[in-house]
Amino acid sequence: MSQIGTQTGTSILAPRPPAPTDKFQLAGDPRRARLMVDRMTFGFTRAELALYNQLGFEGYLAYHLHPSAIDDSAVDAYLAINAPTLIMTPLQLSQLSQQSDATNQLIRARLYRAIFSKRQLFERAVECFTDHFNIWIRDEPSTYLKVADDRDVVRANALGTFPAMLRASAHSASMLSYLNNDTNTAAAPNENYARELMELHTLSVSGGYSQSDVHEVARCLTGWTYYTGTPANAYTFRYNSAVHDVGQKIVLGNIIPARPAASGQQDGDDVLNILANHPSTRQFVARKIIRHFHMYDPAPQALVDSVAATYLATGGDIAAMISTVLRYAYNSPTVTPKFKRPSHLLASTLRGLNAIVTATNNLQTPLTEAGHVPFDWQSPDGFPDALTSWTGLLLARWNFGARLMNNSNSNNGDWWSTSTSAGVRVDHTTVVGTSTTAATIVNAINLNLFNGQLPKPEQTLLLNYLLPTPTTTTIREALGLAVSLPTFQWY
Amino acid sequence: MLTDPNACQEYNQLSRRQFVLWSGAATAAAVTMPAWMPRVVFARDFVTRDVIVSIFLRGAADGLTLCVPYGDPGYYVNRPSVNNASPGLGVPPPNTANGCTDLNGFFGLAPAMANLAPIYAAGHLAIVHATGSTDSSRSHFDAQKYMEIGKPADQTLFTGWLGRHIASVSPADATAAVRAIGIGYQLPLTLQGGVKGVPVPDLANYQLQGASGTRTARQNWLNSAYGITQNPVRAAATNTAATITTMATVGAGSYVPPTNTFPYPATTGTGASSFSKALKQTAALIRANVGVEAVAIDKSGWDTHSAQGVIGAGSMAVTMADLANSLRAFYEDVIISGNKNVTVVVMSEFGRRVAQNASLGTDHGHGNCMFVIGKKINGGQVISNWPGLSAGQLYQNLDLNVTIDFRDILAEIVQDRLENVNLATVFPGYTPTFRNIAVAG
Repeated sequence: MSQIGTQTGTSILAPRPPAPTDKFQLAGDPRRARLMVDRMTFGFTRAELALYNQLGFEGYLAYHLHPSAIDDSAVDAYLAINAPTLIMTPLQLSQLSQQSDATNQLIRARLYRAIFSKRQLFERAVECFTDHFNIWIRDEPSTYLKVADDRDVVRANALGTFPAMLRASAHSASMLSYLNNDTNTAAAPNENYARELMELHTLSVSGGYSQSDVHEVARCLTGWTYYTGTPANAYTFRYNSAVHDVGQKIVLGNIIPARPAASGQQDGDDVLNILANHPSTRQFVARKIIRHFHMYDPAPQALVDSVAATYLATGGDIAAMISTVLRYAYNSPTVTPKFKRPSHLLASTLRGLNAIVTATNNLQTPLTEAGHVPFDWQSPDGFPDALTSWTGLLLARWNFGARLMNNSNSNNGDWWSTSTSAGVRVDHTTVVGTSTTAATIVNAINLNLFNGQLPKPEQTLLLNYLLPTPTTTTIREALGLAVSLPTFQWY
Repeated sequence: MLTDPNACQEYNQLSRRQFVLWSGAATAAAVTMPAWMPRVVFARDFVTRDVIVSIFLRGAADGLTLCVPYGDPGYYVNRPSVNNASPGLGVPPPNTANGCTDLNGFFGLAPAMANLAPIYAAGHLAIVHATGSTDSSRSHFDAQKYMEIGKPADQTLFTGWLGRHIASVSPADATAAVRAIGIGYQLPLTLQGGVKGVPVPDLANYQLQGASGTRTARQNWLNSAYGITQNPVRAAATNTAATITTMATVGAGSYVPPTNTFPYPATTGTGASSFSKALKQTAALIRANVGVEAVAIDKSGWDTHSAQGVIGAGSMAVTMADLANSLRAFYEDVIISGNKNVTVVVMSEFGRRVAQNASLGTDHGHGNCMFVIGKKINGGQVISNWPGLSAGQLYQNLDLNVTIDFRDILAEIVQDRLENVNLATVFPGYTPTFRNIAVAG
């Protein structure tokens, strides 16, 4: 491909990676329904498509934007038994004899909900803001406090307002610990949280703040920490006036007046208001939502402006901003697909194949090999959402299907098996019926995984794998290969 | 230098068969024998180009602890000694309690880094200090990006310096199936834009799962399916299939380093080091002579805003010991015992604030140090235009200044050790000043 002397700088200094795969021509295209369902869920299913067709685009969007009206009792009941730490107070979490229970149950509940919750758009929004306000779950004490952050910050506000989520995050013991604000004192401010608050949570790195602003915001937030020990309010927000810097500060040109220590908590509240109402924040949050729900960077500036205008008009209403993005997608003449991140691929695979999950620990292992275990991203920027971040490690993706549909597995400690006692399994007849005719099986795969829109060359490949006479082994392997197909990697 | 790659490959394969014959193994063993095992000399060993192992310390490692400027009085003003009644973060001078290991009368290695001292003494380790990116960003993510793309403050470049190096130089081995590996789940930006580059989380566990009886059929099927899709996914699939084959040849999982060299920190069990494991597997990879020219490895855990712990069982001390001991093991294994042509370069996005904070940590800073290891490196010296740490000498009155651009170091390595003169492609818009860190040829 490259030869010394023949390649000049210009050709490999291309400004961006190559554009992904072909575009959907949406107007009048039956693929639009599948695309919209894929945008609003963790993977197309026939049931979701039927709902979409019944309600229409606007009706389906409205349905998913009111998650509390959607009956999710089956998932709630499962998690009540299998993830009891989810409802614990911070104090209770801190007193668990096995604190790893909290970590594991949260990770697995996240995956279980992505697969089975009927509140799919809500879960997609949770994914978006989990990354936005990322906290590494291996960082003590977030190993257990992230449970409270996930519940009280992210899930409580995922379809609420951005300013409310921002404020909740700034009062989260898990976040304050992760970014060291619990040791930020007047004597010598710790800038870590102050910097990331502006760089990653609100303004963005190019949003117009200086090193001086970082220093001043850190001063404003001195004393923002959490209670420890064993009182009922342990590991909840605490303003410690004794270590607060009482002097005047100047943040982004705004004077934060000198205040007595007792009322110094107002400094931080002022900062959060300044940031939540800053034009750079509106642009940054708009770009984040667009990237998550619609397209890779760079988004058209007109779209960014329109989502930012929604933020301004609604006080940062997340559901309204998501609506602006999805309506834009619905009305676009063409849409460029996104490459599923590994946990998204896992969820869409198990949704598409009607998987039966009775032990969620088996959901986590394949994502360990793919580098996408929920909450397991060390730095505060969250898992990347760029094409080139996830196209390199195809092998882990292929192995999802390979292991899930390996017909020779007994319950032998592999991730998944065919045993009826296995934690994750697929009854292939629920996808392809009992036919043993290759063409019939391929049609069923095409219908149930691709809404009948699988490109012909990929249909032919599946057919050839099954010919001349499909067996249980080749049928199951063909399903594993179907979810490994290039077309299944995109949404 | 031999010029016919096909001849080289034949010779290569012949040699391997002969080794099996001599060792009395059955013919079938030729298929499974790991390639890291010693054999007669390979054609590739005549190539003078080094394999580069590029190590990125993510999170902004504190260069003032890694390589301590104990001779600068400003250092102890900003970092009171750990030996004080109220301990600070200052690593004491050599030959005192908790003292650093002297390098040149001014700089010393933190106690946890002391196992690098013999490499320095052997003339194979050079340290560059007060280096880094001249961009003022104290954002981890922007600074990492600028360093990896090799162009500070550029928001339009989406390929890495090492990727562009690979793309602008003919392969060291024309038959190589894989030219660059990033050990991890994502191909690091450093390697983006290259050719035959692939991320591999675990070199010892890289094969298609599922029933072994249908593995070949399924792999061939996947190759067909991805052969009709578009880039970059299509190229990634080609690289994946090639890497599966290559890793089966390498046999990194069974690699046994020489017993008479410095041991790798534990790679399994409680307290296992993923960095040590990555370097140990890289050793097997390089010894296997499969034509990989560049390996990128991350080591995280350096963002020490609080409880930095520079000595004893402190947080950063543990991280440093893992870094130093793993590098020492790799050096003795591959560069000394294995006599391989390898350059190791260690960098981090920026240094940390000169003054410690109230949490006994350090906030984001500017200038930092780099480590370069290799037989053809002009080691045994700290290369620095030391700007000083006293008031009036600091960058923005806070941080260590950058007086040597990191690209000066990398560009010299690219030209003199990696046989690539296309520096305008690798570091666009920059004319490097060579610092005489490497021997050409």
